[in-house]
Amino acid sequence: MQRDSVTINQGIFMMLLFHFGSSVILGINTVVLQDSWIAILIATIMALPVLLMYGQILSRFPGKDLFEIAEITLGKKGGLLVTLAITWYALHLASLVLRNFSDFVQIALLPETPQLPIQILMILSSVYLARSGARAIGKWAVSIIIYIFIVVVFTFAAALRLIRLDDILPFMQHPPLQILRASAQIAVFPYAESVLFLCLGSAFPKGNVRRIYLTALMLSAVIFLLTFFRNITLLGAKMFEISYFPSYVTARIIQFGDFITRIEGSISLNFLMAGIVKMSVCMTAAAKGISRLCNLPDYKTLVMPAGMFAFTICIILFDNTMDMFYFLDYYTIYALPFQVIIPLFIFFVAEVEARRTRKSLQRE
Amino acid sequence: MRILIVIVVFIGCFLYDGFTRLDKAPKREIVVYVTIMLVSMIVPVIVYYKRVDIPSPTYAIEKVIDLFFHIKE
Amino acid sequence: MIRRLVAVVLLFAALLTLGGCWNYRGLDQLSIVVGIAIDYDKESRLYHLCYEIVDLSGMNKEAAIQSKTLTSSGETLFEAARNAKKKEADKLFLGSAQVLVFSHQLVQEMGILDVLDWFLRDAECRESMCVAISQEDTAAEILISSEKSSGMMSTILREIIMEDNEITASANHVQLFQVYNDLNTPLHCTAIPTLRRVKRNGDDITELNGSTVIHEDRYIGVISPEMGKYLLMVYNELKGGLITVALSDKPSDLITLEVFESYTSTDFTRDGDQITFNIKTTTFVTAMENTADLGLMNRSNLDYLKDIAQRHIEESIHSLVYYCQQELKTDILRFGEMIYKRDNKFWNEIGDTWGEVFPTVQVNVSSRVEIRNAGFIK
Repeated sequence: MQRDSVTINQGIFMMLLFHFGSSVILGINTVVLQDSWIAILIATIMALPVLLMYGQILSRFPGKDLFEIAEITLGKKGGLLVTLAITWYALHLASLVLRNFSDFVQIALLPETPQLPIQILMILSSVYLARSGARAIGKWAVSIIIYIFIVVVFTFAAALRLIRLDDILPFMQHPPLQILRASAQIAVFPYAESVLFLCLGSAFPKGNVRRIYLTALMLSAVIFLLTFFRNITLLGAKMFEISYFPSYVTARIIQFGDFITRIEGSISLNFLMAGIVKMSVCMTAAAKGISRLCNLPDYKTLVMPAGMFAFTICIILFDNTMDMFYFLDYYTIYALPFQVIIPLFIFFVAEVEARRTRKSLQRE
Repeated sequence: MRILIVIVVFIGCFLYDGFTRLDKAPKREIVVYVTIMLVSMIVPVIVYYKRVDIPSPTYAIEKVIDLFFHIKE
Repeated sequence: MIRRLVAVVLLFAALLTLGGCWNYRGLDQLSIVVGIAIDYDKESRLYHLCYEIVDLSGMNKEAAIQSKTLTSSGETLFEAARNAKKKEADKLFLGSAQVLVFSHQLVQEMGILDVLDWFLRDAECRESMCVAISQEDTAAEILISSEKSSGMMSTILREIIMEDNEITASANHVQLFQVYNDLNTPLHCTAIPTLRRVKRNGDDITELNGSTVIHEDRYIGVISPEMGKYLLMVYNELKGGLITVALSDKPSDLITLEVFESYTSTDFTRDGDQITFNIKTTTFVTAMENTADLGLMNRSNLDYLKDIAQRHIEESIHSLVYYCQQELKTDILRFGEMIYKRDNKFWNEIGDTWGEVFPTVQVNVSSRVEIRNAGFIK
């Protein structure tokens, strides 16, 4: 198999865009409204050990991806189950992201266009990107990250004139339990979704995986906090609560000086470009899973069927947009086995094995 | 119209992959590829043509989780 | 060769799906709406909408863009908007609408929250639309521009309203999303700029005339342009305007101070059941019209002027507070909002009875005025 490696920066930005991808569109708006910044901070702390665990798994088995590691640690049958589960999760996640985006485009940008062409265009671009290898995704991430940073900073600066700082208060109006639930939701979507990067394992530079995970986590936490702060102080708590896409609404209101208005196009571009990264990563993971299940040497041919299958699931996934938002609450629990339980098993077995090997080496 | 788009896009993908990768691929790969692509093509065509709602995994997941956890009031 | 052919086929397949061209409408097929006025007829239970539309016919480079008005009716707002197609060749495009005017009858009879719902839900309408209330019989007459004035009424109105707090300081401006937000906070209270028609040189023009106070989606009262300045001051949104002080009872003993910067900080203290709000204002002014002929080079005169200006501001704010407490009986000053945000626990205790607590609140105002200069002459 050809070595298709990404540099550290490419890895960090890829993961950052993966986190950024669909959660900025849906807004980090949870039920706790103005207290969401506390939820974001707690979610970052919650996700820290999980992401470190992912990094440790990859460090123990350099050059291998999750499916190979699962087979080594859990045996052939365990490996098969894990491959099936993670492949399904990758396909489901890709279709969820695709559905998020096509719904957003239909509601906010092109109401009279059917979702089909939008979905096809997005899936074809993501498939092409995924087919070109992990390095291509990394290069794409590096080339658009500047634009994304500029847009985030620019919209924040432009919003400063209109914001009411008071709107971040009242502090801790919501009960701590509710804030914890909101943090769990943010930790699961989007932070712990980066479990799929374990499937790209062979692409990451050896020894630096934990650094990539940590840096991406910190950077995305900063961007989420900035975006959330801009949204809530501009819109106010009630307007923030009722908006499906608060970042988009904020961008419609912001103006810079007298004639730089209507900048919501740049924000939509942000979303779409980051979304393509997320879908490509999911598709790569799914294709690798399918190729392992069928004992095939190269995964790149299977990216197209994986993408088309995700597209098919996307069509039947939800009846309407409200169901999509309704599912978010269930997603927190549904994703746990894939994001936490399976990697935890693998992690424990790997660590126990490593200790046993070390002890037997010491005895010798 | 939508069915036409779906079919044309899928044929385009078949052709593209056929000429770039599949001609060098082992037989098993071609079989897997064609199976998944056919399934992915037929489902949207059925949905659009017969306007039938194929049960979505979402509602199954929601029902299963509802059995164990109390999420919505 | 074949690869290229296949690539071209695939490109065409993707071209088929070009979403942007699915429902393309050229500019000549759109009626660009710049202002909307809403009236409600109680008897027929119909909404009457009046749109100010850009008139692109007969346009030349020298003249300003003209506009025309169009009216339509319907049982709901969306129906009324669609019914306009029966009278107009092109479909209305609401994405450029800058001003939304309600008639005061609509406000009094059914409130505005139901009306706001459609504007927020529709993807075309922008949340940054400026909202105003018409004091005339209908809202539609506000949008009618006089024959002598050029340009579009809605654009002019938007500029009048949005820049008011920097020039005349008679009313605060609110955008659509802010109205929704204000009416849904625990205070349910907002002040919306009011427009009226006046005669000037035999012509009818639209003028900004203070604000209308709405509480729990009901019309409560008005705040005059003179009080509007101090309302802006309490909100910390005053960015300009004039303060005219009288040095004595003589009508010619007036000095007009131009405000350049103004900062207000408000906080509150609790003493058992008694709540006291402390408002501190700092205003930087220049003395720009000195009909009282006060020698401004004299330091003691300046101190005297400062003192008078400070007392004037304090008294005006006190009378605004009194007006809100006793006559409007509505907390338009955002005092309750301050308690809700800064001391949420206390708000949970008194929030339900804030309507009775608000009139008992004590207010201390301390104002500081700094006179920067006196213009070009001594």
